[in-house]
Amino acid sequence: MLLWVFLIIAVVVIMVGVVFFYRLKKKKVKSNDDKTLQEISQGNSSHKSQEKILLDAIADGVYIVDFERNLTLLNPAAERITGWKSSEVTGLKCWSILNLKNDKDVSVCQNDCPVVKCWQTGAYVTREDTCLLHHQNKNTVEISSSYTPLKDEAGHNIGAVCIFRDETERKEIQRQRDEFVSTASHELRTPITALEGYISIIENDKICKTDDRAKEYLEKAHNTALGMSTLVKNLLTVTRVQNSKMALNKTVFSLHDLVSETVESLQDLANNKKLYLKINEIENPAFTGERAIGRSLNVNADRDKIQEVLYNLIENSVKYTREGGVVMSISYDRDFATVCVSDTGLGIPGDAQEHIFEKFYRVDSTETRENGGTGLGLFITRAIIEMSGGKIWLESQVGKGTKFYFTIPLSMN
Amino acid sequence: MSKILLVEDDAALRDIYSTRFLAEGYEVVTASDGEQALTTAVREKPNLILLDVMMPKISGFDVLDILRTTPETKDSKIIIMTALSQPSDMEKGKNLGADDYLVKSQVTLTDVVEKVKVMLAE
Repeated sequence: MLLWVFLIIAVVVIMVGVVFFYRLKKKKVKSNDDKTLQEISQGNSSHKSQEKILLDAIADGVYIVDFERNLTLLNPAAERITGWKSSEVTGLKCWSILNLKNDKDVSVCQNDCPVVKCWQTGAYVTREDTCLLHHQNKNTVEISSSYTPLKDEAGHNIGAVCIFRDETERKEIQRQRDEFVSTASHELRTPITALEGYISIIENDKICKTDDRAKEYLEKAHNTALGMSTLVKNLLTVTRVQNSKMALNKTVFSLHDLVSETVESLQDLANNKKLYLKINEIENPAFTGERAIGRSLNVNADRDKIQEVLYNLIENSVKYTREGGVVMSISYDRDFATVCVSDTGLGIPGDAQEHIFEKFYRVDSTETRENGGTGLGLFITRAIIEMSGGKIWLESQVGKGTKFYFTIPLSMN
Repeated sequence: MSKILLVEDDAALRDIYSTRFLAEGYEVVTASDGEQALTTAVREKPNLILLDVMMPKISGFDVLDILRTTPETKDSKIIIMTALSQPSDMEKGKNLGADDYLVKSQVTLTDVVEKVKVMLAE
């Protein structure tokens, strides 16, 4: 009898033991998919997981936040860049240590949080602008960063991963390079102006006697000097744009008058290529009475800079048009004036359209090689329009022509 | 015959502008820094002064300020001609009493001659 009791107890103990062992074993082989964010982040497993090895090896900073934007992990590179230990900050809101500020020194964490943005869009978000993160020792570090949403199996956002890179050194090299370009351009400007001046006094009949052949060569030399002068001026403008030093001298003026004036002064340029250059007036149905015709509306912008935009766009159109010509039109809505420069030229291929406003970008073709140019004009044009509070875009078809549009805010007075 | 004082520290530009103004029939005197500009202006009493800003010794803005408070030169026409293109600089020039403000990169030699002609005809 006693033996039976022992046997029963032994069986029960063995069964409990087996069940316990299996449960334990099951827990051990629990796949990574089942791990919570906390478990992955903290690398709780006794052995170093592959994820942990990977995170430790990445030279860029990586941090993970949960669905409430609480930090759950910083990799060693992130610890180095931010100056915080992962264990010190786990559970804190990400902005308490990584307060990203844009180039205007305004925090983006409250109103323009890239994590929230990546959740909303479901796609990864990058910040190319200069972000400053507040270092533990109160220094700021310039970083570029990207954000990817982390989702559970049902597709719900459970967190996000941010990868960021310390750009301080790269930015410093860039600054030095920009400064060099700026200084070199300044230094070049004086001799070019002198060159141009001397040529123009040789060309002046009141001062010098030259024969026809000399005149012909002088004219070529003069045009070359003018081209150099434009190049240097553009380089200086580009460095100003990059350093946010371009200042706008805003006034209220009639866009219609400015367009007419510009079209008139470029008439010779178009005539030389036997092209037409004209203004097509559009009446805007949104307005009635006096405001229906464009010329009564004023815009608020830097007149000289907008004229530079018009020069750039019209000269480009004339340059790349063989037959037909260029038509300007202005239309108005409640807040903006829209100018359209439409040509019957070569057109811009689709893949080039998205790059056309980039610095030094040039469409690669026989035509662009023959025509010369710096690839800076449209970059500057876009910078001026965007600084003025407007937008610029284009529509183009190869072989048919191109339409450039830009908007400028109307004067509220 | 109107007399022009050309204040410019760059020798080549001084040469070019004075040659051109001489050809237009003006009498031209030159100065290559702010200090020389002040002494020459008081001595020569020019009808018009073309004034550079970034110069050795005394800046063009200071020269302008002094010229406007000096009896011999307070009524001379003064045109600032400088590489400085910021609106704040233009404002400063106008406030100090310049009759016109030209940015070197935005005007040609002919433009400058035309401005001078118009101003001296007034």
